[in-house]
Amino acid sequence: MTVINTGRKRRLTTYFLREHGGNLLFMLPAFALFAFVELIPFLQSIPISFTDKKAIFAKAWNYVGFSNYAKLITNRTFQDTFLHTAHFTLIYILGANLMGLMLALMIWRGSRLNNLVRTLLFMPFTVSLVASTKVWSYVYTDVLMPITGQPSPLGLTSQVIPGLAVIAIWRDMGYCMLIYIAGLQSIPLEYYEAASVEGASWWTKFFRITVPMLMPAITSNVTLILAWGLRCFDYSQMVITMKAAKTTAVFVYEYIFGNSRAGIGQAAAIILTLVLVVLTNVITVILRRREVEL
Amino acid sequence: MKKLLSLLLAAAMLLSLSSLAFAEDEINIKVFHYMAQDAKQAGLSAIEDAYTALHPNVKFTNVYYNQGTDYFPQLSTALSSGEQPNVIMGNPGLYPDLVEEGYIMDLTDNQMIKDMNLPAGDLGDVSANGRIYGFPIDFKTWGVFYNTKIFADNGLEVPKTLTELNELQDKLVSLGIDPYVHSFNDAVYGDIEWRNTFWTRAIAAGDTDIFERLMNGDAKWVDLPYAAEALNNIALRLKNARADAMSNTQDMALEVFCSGGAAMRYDGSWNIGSMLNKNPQFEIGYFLVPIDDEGSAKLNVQVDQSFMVNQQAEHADVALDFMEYWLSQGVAWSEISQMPLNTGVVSDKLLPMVRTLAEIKKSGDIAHYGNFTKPLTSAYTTALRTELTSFVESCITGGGMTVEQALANLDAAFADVRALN
Repeated sequence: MTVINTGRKRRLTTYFLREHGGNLLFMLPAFALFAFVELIPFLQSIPISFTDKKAIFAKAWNYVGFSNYAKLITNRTFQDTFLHTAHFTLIYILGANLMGLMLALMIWRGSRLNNLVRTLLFMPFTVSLVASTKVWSYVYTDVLMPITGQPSPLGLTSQVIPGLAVIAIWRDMGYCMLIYIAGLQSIPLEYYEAASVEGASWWTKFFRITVPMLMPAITSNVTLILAWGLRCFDYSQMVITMKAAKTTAVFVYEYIFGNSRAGIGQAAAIILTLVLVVLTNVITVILRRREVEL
Repeated sequence: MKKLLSLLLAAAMLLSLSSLAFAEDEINIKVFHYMAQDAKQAGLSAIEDAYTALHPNVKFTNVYYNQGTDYFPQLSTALSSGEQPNVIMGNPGLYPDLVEEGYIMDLTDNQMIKDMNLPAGDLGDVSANGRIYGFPIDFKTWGVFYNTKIFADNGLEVPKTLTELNELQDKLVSLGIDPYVHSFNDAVYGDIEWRNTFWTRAIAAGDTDIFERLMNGDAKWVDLPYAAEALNNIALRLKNARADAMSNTQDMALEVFCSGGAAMRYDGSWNIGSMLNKNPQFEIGYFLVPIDDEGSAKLNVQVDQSFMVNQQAEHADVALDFMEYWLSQGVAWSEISQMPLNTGVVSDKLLPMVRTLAEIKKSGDIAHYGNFTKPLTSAYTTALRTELTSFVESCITGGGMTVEQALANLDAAFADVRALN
C-alpha cells in the first residue's frame, strides 16, 4: 500500500510541477515582495492585538487575551466606521463598474479617436488618491458651488460619503473600463450576428450575450473594487474632521499611531482584514458560480 | 617602481581616512516639526543658518508633517524603526508616551529656562508629571482678525460686547459683505471657536482639573453650564456663515480673507505671518472675541512652539545647545515668524497687534491652558474636535442639533474613547 501511494504521490508531484512550475516561478518574485512588505509584517503584528501595548515604540506591554476584540465589537465609534466603510464601498462598486461598463460599451471598438478617449479616461487612475481628493475639493468648492449654489458635499454629513465615492469612481472607472473593453473584445461577433438574425433587440443582446460573457471581467472588477473600498483610507483621511466619513482603516491608523493604543488598533486591523477576506471570497464565489452556469 | 606604487597607495588610503574623519565631524540635527506656516518655517531656517554659521560642522534636516493627521504617526514610526530625530516639536503633556519611554530630556534644571522667569502656565504647557520637558519659545492665541479697510470704509467699530458683535454681523450682512470666512475642514477651527468661552469660564470657576475629570468620567459635558454657553456663542457667530465654511481648508479661507472676500476671520495667531505673506498690503486688525456683555473675555494663551530634545538620539548635547541658542535668539525668531514670545520681549519690527498680544500676556490677565492640571490627550482631542465640527456643521446648515444634543454627543464620544483605554 505504502509503495503504491508513494509512487502515485511522486507522479502527482511531477505532473503538478510540469503543469504549474512555470507559473509558480513567474509568481515567485511578486509573491516574495508581497510577503516581505505585507504578509510577514501582518503575521508579526497579530500578537500585538492581544496586548495592551500603547505607542508602537513602547518597550513593555501585557497580554490581555481577547479583551481588545471584545471592547471593539461593542464600541459604537468602531461600529460606525464599519457602516461608513460599507456605505462608501457600495456606492464605489456600483458607480465604478456601471460607469466603466458604460464607457467600455461606447468605445470598445478600435479606432484612433477611441484609443485617445481611452487614454484620457484612464489618466485619473494614475493620479494619487490624495491628489485626487485635493483636486476635487477645489472642483466642489470653486467650480460646482458657484454653478449649483450648493455647498461642497465634503463638508456635509449627509453627503460626504457619496461625495468621496464620486472622487473614487472618477479615478477608477477608467481602470474598470479597460478590463471591460478586454472582455468585450473577446466576445465572438458571431453571437451578436446570430442574435440579430433572430431579431433580438439591443437590450436582449446585452443581457443575454454581453453580460454573461463579461462575467469573468465583472468578477475581477467587483472583487478588486470591493477590496479597495473596504480598505479606503486616503479619501477619508482628507476630510478627517467629518465624523460621518471616518472609515475603519482610518480608525486603525488613528489608534495604532495617533492615539498610542497599538493593541486596540491592531485588533481593529485584524477584524477589518477578516471581514475583507470573508466578504471578498463570498462575492468571488457567488460571481464565479454565475460564470460556471453559462 | 613597486615601492613608488606602494607609497602612492598608502597616501591614497591616508587621504581617504582623513576625509572619513572629516565626514564624521559633520553633525546632522534632525528637527521634527508641524509648523505649516511658511513664515515659521522661514524663521526656523534662519535660526538654523545662524547656528551653522557659528558651528560650521552642524547641519540641519527639517521634517514637517501635518499635526492633525500625520505628525505623531510619522514620529512614532521613525522612533520605532530606530530613526532618532534630535529635536521634536510638541507639548510634552500631549505626547506622554515619549516621556514615559525615556526619549525626552528632562529640562527642569535648565538654567536658560529658569532665567526666563516664566509664569506657571507657560511652564505647565511644557511639563508632564511635574517635570519640564520642552523649551517654551512663543505662544499662540485666537480671536477675530478683521479687514481694517472694510471696517474703515463702512464706519464700523470693533465690538466690545457680545451684543455689539451680533449687531456688527447683522450690519455687515445688510451691506452685502460676508462677516466671516471659516475653514472647518481643518479640525482645529471648531476647537478654537469654543475655547475662548470654555477656558475663560472654567479657570474663573476654579475648574482647572476639568479636562482630567472629563477624561476619567468624573465630570460630564452636559453638567457644565459654561460648555453650553461656549456652544451658544459659536452658534451666534455662525448664523451668517458662507456656503464654503465647512469645506474650506485654512489656506483656502486665508486666500478669501486676504483678498477682501470677507470682513473677519476667527483664526489663530499662528497665521499672522501667512496673512502678510499672502498679501503684504493687507491691513489686519485683531480683537478678542467678546463672550458676554460684561467684558469677561480673557486672552487665551497656549505655548505654541514647544520643542523637546531626544536624549536617545546621537548628539543630544548639540541639540540641547541649539535649542538654548534658539531661546537666546527669540527676538530674531519673533520678527520673522511674527509670533509673540512667552517672555513678553518685543521689537519694533513686530506688527502692532503682535506687540499688543505680548503685552496682554505679560499683564497676566489671561486664561492659560497650562493652568489646567492635564491637557486632553490626542484621542480625547480628536473626539472633541469631531463632535464640535458636527455641531458647527449643524449650525451652518440648519441641521437642528441643539446644544444639549451636542453636549450629550460629546459625553458619548468621550465614553467611547474611555472604553478603549
